[in-house]
Amino acid sequence: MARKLRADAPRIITANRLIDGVVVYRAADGSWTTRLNKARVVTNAPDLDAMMPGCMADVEACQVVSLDVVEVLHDPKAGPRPLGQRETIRAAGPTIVLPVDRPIPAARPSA
Amino acid sequence: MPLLENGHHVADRWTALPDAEPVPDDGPVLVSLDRLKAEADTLWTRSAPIGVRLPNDVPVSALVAAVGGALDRLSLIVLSFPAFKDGRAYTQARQLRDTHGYQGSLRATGDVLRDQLYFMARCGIDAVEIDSTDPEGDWQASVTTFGAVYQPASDDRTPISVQRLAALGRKGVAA
Amino acid sequence: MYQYDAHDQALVDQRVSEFRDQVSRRLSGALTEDQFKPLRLMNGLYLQLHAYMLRVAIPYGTLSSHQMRVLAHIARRYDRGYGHFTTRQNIQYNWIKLADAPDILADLAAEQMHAIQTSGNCIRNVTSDPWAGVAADEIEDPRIAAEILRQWSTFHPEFSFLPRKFKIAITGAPTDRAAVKVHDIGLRMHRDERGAVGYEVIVGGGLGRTPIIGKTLRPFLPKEHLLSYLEAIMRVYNTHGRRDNMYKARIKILVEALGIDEFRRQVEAEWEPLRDGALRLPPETYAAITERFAPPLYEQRTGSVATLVRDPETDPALARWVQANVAPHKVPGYGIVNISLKGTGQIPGDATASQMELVAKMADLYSLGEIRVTHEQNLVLPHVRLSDLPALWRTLDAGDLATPNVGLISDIIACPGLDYCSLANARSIPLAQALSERFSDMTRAQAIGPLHINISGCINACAHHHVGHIGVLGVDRKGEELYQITLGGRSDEAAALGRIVGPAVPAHQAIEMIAGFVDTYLAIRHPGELFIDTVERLGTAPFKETLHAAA
Ligand code: SF4
Repeated sequence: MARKLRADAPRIITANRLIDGVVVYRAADGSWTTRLNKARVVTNAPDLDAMMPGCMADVEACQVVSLDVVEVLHDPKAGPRPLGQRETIRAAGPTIVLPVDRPIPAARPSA
Repeated sequence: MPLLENGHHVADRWTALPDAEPVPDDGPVLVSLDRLKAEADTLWTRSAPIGVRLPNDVPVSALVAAVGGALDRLSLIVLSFPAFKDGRAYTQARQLRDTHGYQGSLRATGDVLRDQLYFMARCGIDAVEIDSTDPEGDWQASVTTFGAVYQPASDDRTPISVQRLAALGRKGVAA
Repeated sequence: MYQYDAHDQALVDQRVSEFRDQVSRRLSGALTEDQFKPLRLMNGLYLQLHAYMLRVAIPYGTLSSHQMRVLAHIARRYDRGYGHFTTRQNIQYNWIKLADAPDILADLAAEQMHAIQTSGNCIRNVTSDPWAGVAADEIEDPRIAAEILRQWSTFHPEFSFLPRKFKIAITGAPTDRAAVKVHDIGLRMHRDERGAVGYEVIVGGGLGRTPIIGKTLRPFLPKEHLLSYLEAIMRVYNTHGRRDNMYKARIKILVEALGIDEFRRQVEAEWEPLRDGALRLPPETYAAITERFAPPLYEQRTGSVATLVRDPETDPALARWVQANVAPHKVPGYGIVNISLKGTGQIPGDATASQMELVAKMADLYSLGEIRVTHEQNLVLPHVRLSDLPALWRTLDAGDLATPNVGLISDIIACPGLDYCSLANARSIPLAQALSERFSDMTRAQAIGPLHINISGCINACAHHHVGHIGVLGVDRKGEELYQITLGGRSDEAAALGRIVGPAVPAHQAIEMIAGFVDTYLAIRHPGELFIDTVERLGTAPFKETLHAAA
């Protein structure tokens, strides 16, 4: 959630796609990507501010909603990784095995 | 902002009077509740219609008291929706219409959304100021959203439960 | 059960068109997210962590087999093949696309269902006793009043923008299976000295950040005044409920601030001009709705659940399931079958499309086509002939739906938590799964007896942790998921809030703590004494000792 950010902490911009709610991240080329490791990481306020107008324009244009800036763990080689359980789950999906809809076998015959 | 009265886009004939400005001799004027209380005597001597702005945190009973119980001295009550989520004025409208029998115009102002016009109309609000390029179309679309209603309110629509009983009654007679 | 007539059908159809138009205005940019959000919420559509979540209303928890098949169809066609039954007798889908929502609502409407007012600051889906109409201890079927309330509250023009959400529950039996004391308004049926049925009106209960047990506003309200009196309550709340702070906006805060006597005075003053007006319910209106809940045609049969359990011929596994999951029906020869959605390691309340279809089929074969959803996140087949139990049990078992644990320790109530929910502090589901593995021995579970564990992923308390015999609340301490445990809560007619024991701890420790509490209870209980009664008799002190011993 809205935790206080250190000024030089590595950060990314994230949102949900309006049409289906899918988690997206702002990439360096100004597009939205579903992969966190393709997100553009900024480490200073001017860079972040510079990204904002484009993101806001996409909110206006009904591309994305729930715009948020979040801190990440940044490994320059591997790209950003999520920080905290919430962002980990947003990036990777639920931590549980989702129910699988399998056909149900007929009952075993009565003993 | 466009003004709709009973679904028609009309010019606003009311002068909304800031408290500091003198009251003109004629023409309909809209005053604050405080001013209405303070200057009741002079205001009532005018021959032109008087309207009042009712903030949404003032009980309807305070307005009724301010006009000495005679709401029909007012031709317009302006209700306030400071944010569309703030629904207090719906209750004020129903109290004015149903509990106190107010017959004049009830106008919604503030953050009024097209999708709320249906609810407003059912609460007895007959006029709205709405930010829209097609206010008449919006009104028409919203108030006709549902062909029937489940509950009685401050309009003249017959609730479904009453229609059902009436239908049963007719069957009973036929049988 | 209630079937729509042309009026009901027209309204839900018109609602679908309205929402289709709203969605297209949103997608085209004519509506901003701020404007659209309350509209989508009034149709049960939330934006969660990974997708939209759609909450579909199951009014008072009653479903037909046809409706269950539609729920299965939606799971398969628009979601990922499953759905989640909630503590408010609704179903939620977790992977919905906004663009699909209008089509989903249209599919629902075709089978007399909708998502109207399952969210938003309006009067929500009215909940009731899942055994309504069949419970042996019932005064009157509470669904009649619940349906009257559903109609009254649907698109109520005055109460669609309340300070906060508003939940009403009703029970028709002395044993409260609808948790009426923890709702904004709870209605409990009584008979007066002349035998007439009326309602005790309880107000200002609720959980969340400020848990409060509701207070009796009126001990006996004659039936005819139900709507006018509730309208008066709503009017006082809409006028005076706080709007400056969403955490203080529920009616319980207003009732506490005014005091129940002053609140009552204001309600009575509002009621005076309403009571003999258009909202008065003539007996014919009741009769017309009652007819639509006419009991099915039962066969003349004999026998009770108890005799079946005692019969030495009965397969022991079947007997165990009957003992745990089948309740007495008001008609001889029939039973109320509870289907556990809490198999070992399962996600509480989740059912796959195939499971839903299996339940629908079983309802057609054995329960006169009717199904219920419980606030414990289980399902019910309300009208099963005792002689059909063996066949039903075998088929349910093949579909992983015959876990014999209803009301027992592994019948855990859990909200979606941080795996799905954007408001969550901690995950609920993995903890519930781990606990259900820990207590998977059904023989031991039956020896432990009735015990409710409720796990909420945040203070919103969707899993009603305050009223769990053992309540678990997920909290976030500097990014770490911790769990705070309470003991002694209950949601029945003796409703009480649990008391905190010990510090918030990580999941693995929470499991050990709970296991320790259970051991303590087994060691100190009087013969036949339930867990909750032991906690009431001795307080939390002996359980705290368990903690010290473990530390
Ligand atoms: S209790 Fe909190 S985490 Fe759980 S579903 Fe409710 S809001 Fe979400």
